[in-house]
Amino acid sequence: MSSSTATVAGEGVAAAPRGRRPRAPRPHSKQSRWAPLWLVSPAGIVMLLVIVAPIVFLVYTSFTDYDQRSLFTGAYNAVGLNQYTQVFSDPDFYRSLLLTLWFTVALVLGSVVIGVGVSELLTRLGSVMKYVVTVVLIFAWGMPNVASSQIWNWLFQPGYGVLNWLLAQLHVFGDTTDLSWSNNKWLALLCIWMLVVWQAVPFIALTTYAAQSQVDPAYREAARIDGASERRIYFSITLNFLKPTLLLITVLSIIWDFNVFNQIWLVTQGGPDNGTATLGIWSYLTAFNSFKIGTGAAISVVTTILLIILSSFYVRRLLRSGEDL
Amino acid sequence: MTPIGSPRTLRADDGPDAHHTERKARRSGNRWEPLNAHPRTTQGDALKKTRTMAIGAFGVVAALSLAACSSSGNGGSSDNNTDGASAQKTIGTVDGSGKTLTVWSMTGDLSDATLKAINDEFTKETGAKVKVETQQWADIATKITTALSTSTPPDVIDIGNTQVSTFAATGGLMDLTPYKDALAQGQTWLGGLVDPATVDGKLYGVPSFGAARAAIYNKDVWAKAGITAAPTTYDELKADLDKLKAANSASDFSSFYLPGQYWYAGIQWLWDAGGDLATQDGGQWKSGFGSDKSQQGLTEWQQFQNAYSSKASQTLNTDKPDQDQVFADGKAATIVGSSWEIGAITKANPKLTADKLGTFPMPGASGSNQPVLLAGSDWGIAQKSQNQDLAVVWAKIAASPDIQNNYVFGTDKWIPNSTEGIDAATSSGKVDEQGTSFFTAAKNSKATPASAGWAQLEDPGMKQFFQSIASGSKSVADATKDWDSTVNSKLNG
Repeated sequence: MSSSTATVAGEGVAAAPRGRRPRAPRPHSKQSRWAPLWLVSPAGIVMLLVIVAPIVFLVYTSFTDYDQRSLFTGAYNAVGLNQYTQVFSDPDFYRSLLLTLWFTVALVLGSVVIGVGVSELLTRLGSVMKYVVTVVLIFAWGMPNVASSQIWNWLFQPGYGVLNWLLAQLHVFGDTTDLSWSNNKWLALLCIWMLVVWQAVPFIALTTYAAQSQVDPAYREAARIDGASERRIYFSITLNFLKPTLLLITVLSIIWDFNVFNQIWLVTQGGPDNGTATLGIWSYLTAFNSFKIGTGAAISVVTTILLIILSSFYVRRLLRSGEDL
Repeated sequence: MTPIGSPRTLRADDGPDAHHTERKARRSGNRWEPLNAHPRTTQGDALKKTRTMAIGAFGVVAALSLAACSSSGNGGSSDNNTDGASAQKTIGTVDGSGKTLTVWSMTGDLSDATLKAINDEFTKETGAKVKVETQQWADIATKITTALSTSTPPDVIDIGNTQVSTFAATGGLMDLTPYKDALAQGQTWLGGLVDPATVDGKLYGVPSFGAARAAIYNKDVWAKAGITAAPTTYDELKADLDKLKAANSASDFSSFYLPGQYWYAGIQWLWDAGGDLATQDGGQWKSGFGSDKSQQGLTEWQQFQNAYSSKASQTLNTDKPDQDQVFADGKAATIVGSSWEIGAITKANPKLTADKLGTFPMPGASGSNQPVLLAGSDWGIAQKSQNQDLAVVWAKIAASPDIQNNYVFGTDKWIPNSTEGIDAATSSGKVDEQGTSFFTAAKNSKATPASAGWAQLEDPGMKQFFQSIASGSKSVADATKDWDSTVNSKLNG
């Protein structure tokens, strides 16, 4: 079995459909080896143009003093590692790095925990409610985040915001009608946290639910017969089976939440007093507000490297978990 | 059973058995391999080839983009020649038949009728067509920067007067110094429009129109509180507003709606107290926000804002909610705004007709009217424009006394770009009662620092600085101290 399939696979994509029996490599095998490349070339060229080339340019820019003047006149100088030393000696860098890290943790934790909770809820709902909840989730998921940020601004607007009014009706926090969420660092972060988590939950809930519905009920039944509590069954059996899915979701969430930009920019513009300026916001302000494009590029490179380090840790665990399960 | 050589990923429906088999199969080798790795036969060679090719392609792209950079880098080193700076050039007739000039106009600035008048005259003189593209204000500095850096930028751009310097000092705009006399056409341009467009003695923008802010009030609401005459002194204003406050108890009512982020209005208090935004001394900019006078003005502004504007407005700007809408809905008795806002108010609430609206120049605590930030626009011409000759002709027509008097003032009610224009407008008797306040306010006007770094301080910096003072989240002393260091580093950076 292994020898025949191995040869088929070895011939590559072009030969695969004809893999009836083992054959010696064709004399013109060069052609067939090039075929996959030809097949991927349209996508490959597009990716080279829109992803690889800009990244190369970004990295190159981070070693120059590229600024607004360079945009207009094309003149700039190579400055070696100057931009990087400038970034690493800027207290703003450490402040925004710390903020980004813990805010990412808060976002990932919040969205995964709530998402998995909603998924468990879906398994217990009747079919009508299940559809209703799914449709609601998909609506929240399908809304462009620029639009949802705008709606958030209205909900939380001092004076006329519906949420402020609702809070005031609770009579718990006093008169919150004129509360300005974006004027206080912690309230602003809470507001953005709710916005991001709200839109992240649907994907996590639906993906987890799909995985959860595939868990063989026989295991739960067996555990129940053995007298395990529902809680124990959930944590020992259900979550155990969800592990690969959850790891994947966590990695994706980290990448997405680390890079959250729209929601922060549209709700607070990084204010008050840079209180919500994460690495993304800070690099945008540097590159496109102050037009220190070289410095902004250096921040982006550092951010990307951090993200690769962070997610590589999880990717490794993800791969290893495939082995251990 | 899945064949070993095929790509295989874990799926949730595999169940424990599938996982066991998978693991056994994997472990038969001496080392665990990635799930979709193929046995290392011919496939390994193919992969290697692919990789080599990918690296090769990557290298080509990299080399190309680097080459592009360095060549443009060389191109930039040839400096714009400045030899003819002092010699004034004339603007001759340009044959533009078959060509199209692209003009970026800002939404809310010149009306379509005015632009059409300029374009018609331009087409008559040159034979070229004009394409007007109207832009929105959001993130405008970034938009203009991006546009100016392309090889086919818009030829003529409507730029807010406070923002011209940022594009000028960095080489984005054409140096118009040689054409200054020809463009001025014997007029004396308003300092508030031409000064910010002049960087290191060179002119980069042609004044388009001016606007000043004055207070707009709802005559009915004021009359109900027993006030019939507009205030002429700061104390009178405050006394009137106290009466209005007493007569209207709704929590969202503002006797004077003054959003905290509305720094265009806020700096009037700072200037009135004798403060400066920034001063230039020997090429170095020095932030003036922390000076005693500035702090005094800001404190006065904060007290005024907190006393007469709704609490919600402390952290808001004029756009969300729109202050004209707030006023039109009767939630504000007074606002400070430009003349066009009268139109916006009557549009938002047709029942509130123009005759029910009064205006007065903002009186200052100093005794005279508060100095206003002369708002307005300049026409800039892109350095990389392919049609600079035509663009200069277009700008000349836009700045001509005919267009200024008959359209910019006549149709749009803006303040003309020159002192002669203002005189002609006021003596023409066409300035109505409401308009007079804006013209009076414009007489005592100031501009923002003409530094390339200024524009980047406006959004979101100035907004957040004023918000922090209005909301009291920082004391005036702390806020100005922090802001001074930011301003100093950006203006000199």
